[in-house]
Amino acid sequence: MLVWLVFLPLLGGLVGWLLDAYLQRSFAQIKQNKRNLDNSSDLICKLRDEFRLFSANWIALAFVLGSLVITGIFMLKAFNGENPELSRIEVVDLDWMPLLGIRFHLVLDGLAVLMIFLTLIITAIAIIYSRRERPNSSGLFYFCLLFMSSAVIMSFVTVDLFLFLLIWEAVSIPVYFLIVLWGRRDSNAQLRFNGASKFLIYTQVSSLLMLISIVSLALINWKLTNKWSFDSATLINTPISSYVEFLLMLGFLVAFLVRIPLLPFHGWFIQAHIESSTTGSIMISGLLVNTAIYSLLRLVIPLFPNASLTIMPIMVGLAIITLFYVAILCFNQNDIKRLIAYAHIGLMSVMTAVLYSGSLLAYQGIVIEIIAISLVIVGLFIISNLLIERYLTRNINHFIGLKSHVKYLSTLTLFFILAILGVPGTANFVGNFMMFLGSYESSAYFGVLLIIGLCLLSISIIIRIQPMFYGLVDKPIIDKKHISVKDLSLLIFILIILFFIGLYPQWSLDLCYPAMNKIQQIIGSAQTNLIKGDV
Amino acid sequence: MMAITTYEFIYLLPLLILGSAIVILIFFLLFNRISTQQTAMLAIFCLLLSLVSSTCIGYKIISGSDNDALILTNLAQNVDEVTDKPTEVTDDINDAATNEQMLPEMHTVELPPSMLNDGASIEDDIVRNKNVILTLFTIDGYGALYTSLILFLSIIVSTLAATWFKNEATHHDLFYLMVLFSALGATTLIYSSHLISFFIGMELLSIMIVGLVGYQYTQKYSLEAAIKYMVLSVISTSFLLMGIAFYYAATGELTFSGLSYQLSTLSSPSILLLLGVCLMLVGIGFKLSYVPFQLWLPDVYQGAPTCVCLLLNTIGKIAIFCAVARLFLLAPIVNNETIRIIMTIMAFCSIIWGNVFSITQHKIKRLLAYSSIAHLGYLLIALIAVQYQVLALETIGVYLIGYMLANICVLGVISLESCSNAKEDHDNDVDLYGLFWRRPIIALAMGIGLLSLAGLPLTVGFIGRFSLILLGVTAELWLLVGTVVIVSAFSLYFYLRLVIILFIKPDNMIKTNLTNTNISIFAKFKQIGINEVFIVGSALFIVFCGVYPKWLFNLVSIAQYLTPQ
Repeated sequence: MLVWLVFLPLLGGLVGWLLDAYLQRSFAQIKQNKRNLDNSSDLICKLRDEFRLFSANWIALAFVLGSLVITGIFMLKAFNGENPELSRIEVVDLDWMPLLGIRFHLVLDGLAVLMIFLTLIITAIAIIYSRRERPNSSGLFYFCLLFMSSAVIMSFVTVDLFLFLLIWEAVSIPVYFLIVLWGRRDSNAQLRFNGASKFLIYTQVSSLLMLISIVSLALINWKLTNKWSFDSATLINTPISSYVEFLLMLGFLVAFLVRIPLLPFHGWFIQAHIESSTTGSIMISGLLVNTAIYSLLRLVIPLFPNASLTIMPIMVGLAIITLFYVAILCFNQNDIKRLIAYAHIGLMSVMTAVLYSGSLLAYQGIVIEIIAISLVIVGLFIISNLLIERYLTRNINHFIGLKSHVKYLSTLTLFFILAILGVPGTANFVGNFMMFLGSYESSAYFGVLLIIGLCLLSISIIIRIQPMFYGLVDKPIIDKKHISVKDLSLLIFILIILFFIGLYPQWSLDLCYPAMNKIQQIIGSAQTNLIKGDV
Repeated sequence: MMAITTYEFIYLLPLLILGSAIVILIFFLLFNRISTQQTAMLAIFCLLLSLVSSTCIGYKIISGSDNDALILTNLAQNVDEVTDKPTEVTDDINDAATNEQMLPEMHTVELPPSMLNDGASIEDDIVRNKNVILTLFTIDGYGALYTSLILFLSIIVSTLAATWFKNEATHHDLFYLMVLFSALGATTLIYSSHLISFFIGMELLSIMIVGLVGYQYTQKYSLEAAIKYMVLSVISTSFLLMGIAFYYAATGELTFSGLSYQLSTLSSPSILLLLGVCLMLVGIGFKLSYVPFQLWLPDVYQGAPTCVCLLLNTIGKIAIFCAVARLFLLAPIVNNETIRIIMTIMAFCSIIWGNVFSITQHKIKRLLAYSSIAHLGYLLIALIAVQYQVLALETIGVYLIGYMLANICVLGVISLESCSNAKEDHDNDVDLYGLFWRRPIIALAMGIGLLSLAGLPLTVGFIGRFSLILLGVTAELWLLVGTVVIVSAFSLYFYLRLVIILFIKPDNMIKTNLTNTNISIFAKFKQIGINEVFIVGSALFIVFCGVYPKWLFNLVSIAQYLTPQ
């Protein structure tokens, strides 16, 4: 069933693509026949266009909902499990490349189920939302979308490091195509290409560094045991000297830092957001970035606990510098998408800093925060596109008098802005609270600095966003474009999830507790320079 | 060692079939005047037969138990005579080579028999004599695997050429004859375990390439390319010969296994030997276009017809590389520190040069030339690390197969888009704008090939890159591994630019496309020819091996080379 869960979106993408190609052809024939007969039945024409445009969309949505059902079943299993200590829900272990001991090894536990659930929900939102963009050659578009979500799901459950690397790199290919082929409409192809290839080059180079680390780790294990293995469960027990451990961890860390993204490597993130369409932005912010922070938690800390402890001050320092830098930059942003992207970087850097604090409370807070931030940022991107459609610009300074312009939109904008700041009642509040409590326990100075940084970020966002609600419109608006029911319900759906988690977070905490507990124990028992110079 | 029996002759079957095919073809051409179509059919049929035989041999060797492989021995004369013999042979060959190089336009009748005599004389030697002195050929799984690949590629080149020539009425029999000859040369090269057969194979291959490059001399850069290749090829050949001579002077051996024995007993290598190895490296470096000797490659690719480009890029390089790899595996040349450093520098410079200069290229053939410099640089890493024999052969095999498949996809599509009576082949990136909207399946295949060359995951290129890095880390070649990582950024940039070009909808097409959207995937079933099948098949194979590489690894690891006792 786990295999089905992993491959179902991909399958849906393929089916949608083939069906779309088939339908395109048959409709084209019908069209020609119609033209020959010269009768114009408008209704049929319209219906047919509708059908052709959205067939791939419906199929994609159906398959994602199917995977959601499977995830739900897994969740129930996790809740009803008799043995909560044994956190695994389902394991798949198949031979893949026996020469090098590489196995198709997937392990599903509570944390992974939670992340998969989030991924699928965001994918569903993106699919529903993308209908308004009317992508050309929609079959290929939805194939890319579903391929990406399938790969992200697999990267949450994979244990084998080689498989992880493969998936890690494979995720970036559909993103590349989403940016280049279906990116922003008003910029030319060369700009989109530059943005996308910047993203891909950053990812590939950094992941090749990770490949070197993985290979070295496997090689050390091979020299000791004379058996190839890329399984992280096996490699976790490899005895390595602290110096080598540090070097190996750096390889992993670079790959994850690029994708989180922290300060020196954040260039691709901004450009990718600017050049991609709203659906692309949703996919990047909601899916792609989460894999990085999840893998940092799941791989780096358990594999290299001592080295992680050693590098902790540097990482926290880097994250805090990123937070302040981003907050200051936010004061001066005019482009709304850029503003949201910077805000996302700031929030991700908060999470990274907290991740290195090593307290269980903070770890559980991170999980809530990942869910909350992904949903809020997705909501903000949808809102930003609605605003852009109303005002036909992305410059915040031109967004004046929103309240008199569109119904409901100002309220929703306000809510999402407040959610990003962590107002009580939303999931963000729970996440922030737990994270800061945990990090304050382990290191008070860092905790205080982080809170100051977050306040700065909040102030800057409010200063940028607040003027858009006020202001007089000099001439009466002729074409009042109301917000459609579909968009409204989509935003309200996100809102309900946020409130639900904010008011009752216990279920998600229960779900991820065993995995988090294990990670916390590993880092809790780590010491700097525990092993000196052997192997 | 043992005397040869007729039963063991069967192991040389691919060579024999190719040889007899050439004889038959020449006979037909001289006396019967058969048409181009028939020539092509005959050539392809013979290649197919040879492919089947080599596959069968490979299967037999792999599945056979203890007497799985044998070294075919050639009993020439007494030991004393042999010391003189090699020089004579080389002189003969050299004469033959110079003779032919004077006639680059290739008169049918004169060229082939002289080459044939060389081939025939070897075979005669095998039959005639009874004492064991020279070991010309080694037949093992390694040879069988790469021979099959070469023959498969030759078939593809022939079919591509048939499509390429379709608009011309004149005879093109010679083209297929030369393809057959180059297949024979490449096969000899892969089977060789003696420096003389190594040399003969290499010359047979490169002389034919001169003819093939300049074949369509009405095209724009054709003659320039042919002359450039010819001159440089001759120079590199003389270097190679000189190297072989020095080698012989230092060790008194010409067989690979003898060399291995001599080198392993040598405490410190003499200057003469080092000089010999360096001279050989110059010769090989020219043929494989490593960095100080790479300047000819882009120009030659630009001038050559695209299917010949495919031949140069895959057959020419794979065969020579395999032979060199066998030499290095048997004779531990790389153990010497000086040679190691020289080779490391060559690999480093090739990788950098190939990737950096590809960025500005707008002609796909030139771009592929530079990228092939880079890819052979990557392969040289495997060759340097060959002494860590854990994974070297597997890496070479996987990487070469991936490289071959990707090249079939890319160059095959360009060849299909071009035509022989045009002024130039359609290899500008402008020509490929929006290919996806014209010919979707072919464009997808080409895209997959380019992604595989870039080493993106889910293609076999990634598996090759992965095993290369694994090998590099095992051998602790940190400089080269670091280079691979850094230049991959460049390579991604230019490969992906091409991929995007394939998919971008050109503006003028949007209007026309609305009227005839029915040119979609299913409407084109009728136009699918054998070439499309090959191209799409190799694209599927790239993806399959990228997702499930177990069989590929198995295939490569059972095709072991033979170590001398």
